[in-house]
Amino acid sequence: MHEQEKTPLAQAADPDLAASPYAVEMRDICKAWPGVVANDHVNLRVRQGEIHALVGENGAGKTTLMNILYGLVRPDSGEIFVNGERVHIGGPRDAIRLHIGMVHQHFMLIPPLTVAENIVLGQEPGGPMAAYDRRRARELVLQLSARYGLPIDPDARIEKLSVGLQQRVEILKALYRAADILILDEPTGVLTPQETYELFDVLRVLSRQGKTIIFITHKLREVLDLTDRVTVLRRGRNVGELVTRETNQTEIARLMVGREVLLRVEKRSARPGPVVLRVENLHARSDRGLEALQGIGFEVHAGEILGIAGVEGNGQSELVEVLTGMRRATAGRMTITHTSGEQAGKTYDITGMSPREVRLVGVAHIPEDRRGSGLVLSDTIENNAILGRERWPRFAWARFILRLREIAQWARRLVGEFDVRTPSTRLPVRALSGGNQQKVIVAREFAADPQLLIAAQPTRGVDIGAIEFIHRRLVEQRDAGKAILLVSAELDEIRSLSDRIAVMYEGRIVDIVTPEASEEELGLLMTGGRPSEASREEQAQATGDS
Amino acid sequence: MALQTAQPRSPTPPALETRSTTLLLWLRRVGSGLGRPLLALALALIAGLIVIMITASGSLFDRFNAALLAYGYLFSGAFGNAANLSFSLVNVTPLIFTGLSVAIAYRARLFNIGAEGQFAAGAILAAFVGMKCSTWPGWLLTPLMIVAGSLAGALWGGIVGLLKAWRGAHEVVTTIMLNWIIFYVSDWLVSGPLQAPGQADQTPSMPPQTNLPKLSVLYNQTLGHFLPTISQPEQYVVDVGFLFALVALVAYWFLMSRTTFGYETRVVGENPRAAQYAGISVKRNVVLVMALAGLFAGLGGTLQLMGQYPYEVVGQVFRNDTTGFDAIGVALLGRMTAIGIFLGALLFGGMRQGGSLMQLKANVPGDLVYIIEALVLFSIAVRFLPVIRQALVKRFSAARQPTVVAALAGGVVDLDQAPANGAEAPTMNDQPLSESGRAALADDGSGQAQTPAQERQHQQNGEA
Repeated sequence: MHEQEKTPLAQAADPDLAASPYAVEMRDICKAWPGVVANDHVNLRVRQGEIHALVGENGAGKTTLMNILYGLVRPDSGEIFVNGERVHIGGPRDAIRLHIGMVHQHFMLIPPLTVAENIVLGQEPGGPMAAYDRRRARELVLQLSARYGLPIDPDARIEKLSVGLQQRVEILKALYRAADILILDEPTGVLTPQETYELFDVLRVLSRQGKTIIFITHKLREVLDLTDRVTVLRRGRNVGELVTRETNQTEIARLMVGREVLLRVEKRSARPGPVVLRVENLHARSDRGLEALQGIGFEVHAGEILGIAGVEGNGQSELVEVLTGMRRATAGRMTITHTSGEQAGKTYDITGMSPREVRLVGVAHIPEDRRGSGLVLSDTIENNAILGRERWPRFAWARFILRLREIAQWARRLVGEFDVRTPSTRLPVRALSGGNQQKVIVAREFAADPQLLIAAQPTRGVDIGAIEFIHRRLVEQRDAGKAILLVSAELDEIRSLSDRIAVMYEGRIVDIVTPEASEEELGLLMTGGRPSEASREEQAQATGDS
Repeated sequence: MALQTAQPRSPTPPALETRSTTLLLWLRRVGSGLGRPLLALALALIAGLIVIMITASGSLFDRFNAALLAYGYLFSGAFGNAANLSFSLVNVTPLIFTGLSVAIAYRARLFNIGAEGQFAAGAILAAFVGMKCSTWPGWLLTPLMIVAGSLAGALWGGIVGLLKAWRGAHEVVTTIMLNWIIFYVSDWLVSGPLQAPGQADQTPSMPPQTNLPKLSVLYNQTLGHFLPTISQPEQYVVDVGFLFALVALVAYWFLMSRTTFGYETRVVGENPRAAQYAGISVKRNVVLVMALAGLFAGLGGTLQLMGQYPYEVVGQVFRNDTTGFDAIGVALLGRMTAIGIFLGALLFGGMRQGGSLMQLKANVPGDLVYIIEALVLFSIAVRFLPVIRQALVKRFSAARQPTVVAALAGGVVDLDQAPANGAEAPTMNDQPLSESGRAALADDGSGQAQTPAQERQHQQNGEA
C-alpha cells in the first residue's frame, strides 16, 4: 500500500486554508457533448479531509464532473490538481493510482461472490500466476474493516446482504484500493433512513481519519447534516461554493434551481368527503412467502391524502401491490366507491381484480420503481403515455387497433400540462431525465381522472424542481376531490403532504396520527413503539375485528 | 434541462433546437436501421472478395478481376433476368415466412430457433390432409390444407409458448427439441403411413387441384387479358405463395405497430414488470406470440409444399433444410422490421440462387455464398453480443496493466444519469438488438453493460 501524509482535519483550525493544497482541485473544466455543454468552466475545490457536497439538479453536470475526475470522461479543457500537483487522468486506472475511489449509484458487485471476494476482485492476494489466496483475502478484508470501523462479514454472499451493507462493501472496495479521495454518487438514493444515518456515521469516521469525501446528492437535508462545504452546479456552471454551516436549505435550493423554491408544500386544510377506498383486514404474503400484511385496515376519503409511513420493508410495497391488483390478497376485502363522475355512489369490490380491472374502476397508480415497472424505457413517450390503458376505447378501436393520432395528441397534452421537458413525444423515455420520466408517469396517472390515486415514492430520485411540481399536483388533485394514498420513505414528504398518517410496522398499521405528530413520535411508531390508546381503538374499528 | 439532457453522445445528434425533430428522429431510425446491416454486408463482400482472390490463380490483377466477375455472376444469377429473379423469389418466400416467425417471437424477446420445425409441422399436416382428402375439389381442399398447415405450425409453436409460460422452460431448448421431434416424425410418416406406393421415402404428389398457380400463369389468366401476356409463363417458377408472403409482411407490420397486441407484446418483451404493472398477462402473450410465430412458419411450409415442384414431402428433407435457421439471420439482418425482413430474405434467397450461376460461369465454388452469409451474420452478431467486445476490451486493458481493477472499470458511468453523460443515450440508436446483449451481461436488464460509447471511452483511456 502507500504512504501518504495526511493533513489534519482541514477545516478545524485555519479558516484561511487557501494556501494549503486542496485534495482535489478542478479548474475551468469544460466538457461538451454534441449539442450540449455538460460542464462550462466548472471549478471544484475540495479540501483534504472534508466532506464536500456536490449538488445540483439532474443534468446539472455533477456526474460528468465526477466522471472526469475518475477518468471515465475526458474533459475538453481544464486542469486537475490532486494534492496540489497537476495530474493527467486518462482513465480509472490513473484515478486509482492517485488514490481516488468512486462508489457508484448502481453497485458494481457480483452477487453470488462473497464480500471478501468482491472487495479484492482484480487485486487478489496471491500474485498474478498463483492461486487465489482465500485466507489472505479474508484477513485483508477484516483488517480493513477493523481499521475503518466498518464491520462486515467477509464470508457473506453479496446477494444476501441488505442494500446498505452492499454499499459498505463498495466503500471497502474503494478503500482496499487505497482510496484517499472517495466519490459517492447519490449514495442515499437506495437507502432507508436508518441506513442513511449509518452511512453518515461511517463517512464522518472516514473523514476524521483523513479521507476526503465528495458527496453527490440533491437532498438538501443530507447536505446540511453531513457536509462541510458545498459546491452547487446549475446547467453545467458553478453557481455557488458555500460553507455548510453558514447556509440553509432555501439558499441552496435557490442556487440549484435558479429561482425561489417552496420547500414547504402550501396547502389548505383538507375537506374530506365520503370514503373512496375501504380496506378491511387485509392479509397477503411477500415474494418469499412470509406474512407481509397481517390484517391491514383503513379508509381513504375523497379529498384527503393518507400517508403511509414506515421503514421500508414493513409491508408498504406489498400493500400497494395488493391494492393495485399486482399481488393476491390471502384474506380481506377492498372496495372502491366512486364519489364523482357518472358512476358516483357505485361501489366496486376490487379484491382479486387484475391490475387492468382495478385501473378500469378508477384507480391510478404511480409505482415505486419507475424504471422497473412504471415505464418501458426503450419505448416512446407516446407509447408510455397509454401503458396500462392501451385498450381503452379512447386509444383503441375494438380494443385492438391503436388510434395513433389520438394517442399522439394525448401524449402531447400530457407533456404540455405536466411540463415534461422533451423536444418530441416520439423520443424514447430513456432519453429523458429522471424527473421528466417521473412526470410522464404522474401525468399518465393523473390525467386518467381516477377516483383513487396511489402514489408510491412519487419523488424518489427526482430533482427539487420536479419534487415541488409533483407535490403541488398531488395537493391539487386532493383539492379536486380525489382520494390519495401516499406511500413514501421520506418522512418529510409524508409529513408535509398528508392529512393523516398511517404508520406501518411489520405488516400492521400500528397507528394513524395527524401530521402534527412529532418526528420522534413517528420514528418511535415506525420502529414498533406502542400506539396510543385512543388510536388503537380507531384501528380496531377500521379493521373490523373488534 | 431535458432539452439538454436528451442529447446523446452519438455521431449524429438530432438537432433538438429545430422544429423538425420528428423528421430527424425518423431519419436516424432509418439510418441506424440500414446502416449496420449494410455495413455488415459490405464487410462480408470484401472478405468474400479476399477469399476468392486467394483461391483464384494468376496475377493480383487477374485475381481481382476474377473476384469481380464472380460477384457479377452472383448478382446476375440472382436478379439478372426475370427467370433468375423468379427462382430467387422461390427461395425468398419461405425465408420471409420463417423470418417473420423468428421476428415476431423476438418482439417478445423469445428466441425462436424452431422455425424450421414449425415449417415442417405445417408442411407435414398439409400433406397429410392433402393425401387423405385427395378427391376433394380444389376450392375446398386448397384452403383446408393452408389452414391445417398454419394451425399445425401454430400448435408446434404454441407448445413452446405453453412450456415457457407454465413451466418456464427456455424456448431455445424446447424449440430445438421440438425441431428434432418433428423431423423424426416426418421421416417416419414419409417412410410409413404417408409413403407413396412403390417409392422410397417420399409422399405421393399433392393432388393437382391444390397446386398453387405460378405468378406468371396467374397473371396471364387475369391481367393478361388486358395487358401484354407473358410468353412461356412456365419458366417463371415463382408461385402465388410469394404474394402470400407479402401479405404476411404487411400483416406483421400492422399487427406489431398498429394494434394493442403488438403494443402489449412489446411491453412484455421490453419490460415484463411493466407488463405486470399494466395488467398485461405475460403468459398469455408468450403463448400467443409463439403460436403466431409457428403460424407464420407453418404457413410458409405449407405454401412451399403446395407451390413448388415436386409438390411432395421427401424423406429427411427438413433436417437437411436450413431455411428456418437462415431465417434467424434474415430476421436479425432485418432488425425485426417487415421491410428489413423482406430485404434480408431477398439477399439470402438471391445469393442462394446466384451462387449456382457463379459456380458455373466464374468457377468459384458456390459455397462462397455460405461464407458471405456467415460473415454477414457474424458482423451483425458482433454487435449483437457486446459481451464479446467487452471481453476483448477487458482482456487488452488487463494485459497492459495488471494492476487495473477490471471490476471497477466495468460499468462505471452512472447510467441513471445517462442523459447527463450520454452513456446510455446511444441506445436510442439501437433497435431491439442491443437490449438482449445487455441483458446477457446484466441479468436484471438494468443496463449496466457498457454501451459502445463507453467502450470507446475505455479504449481511448487505455491507449493514453
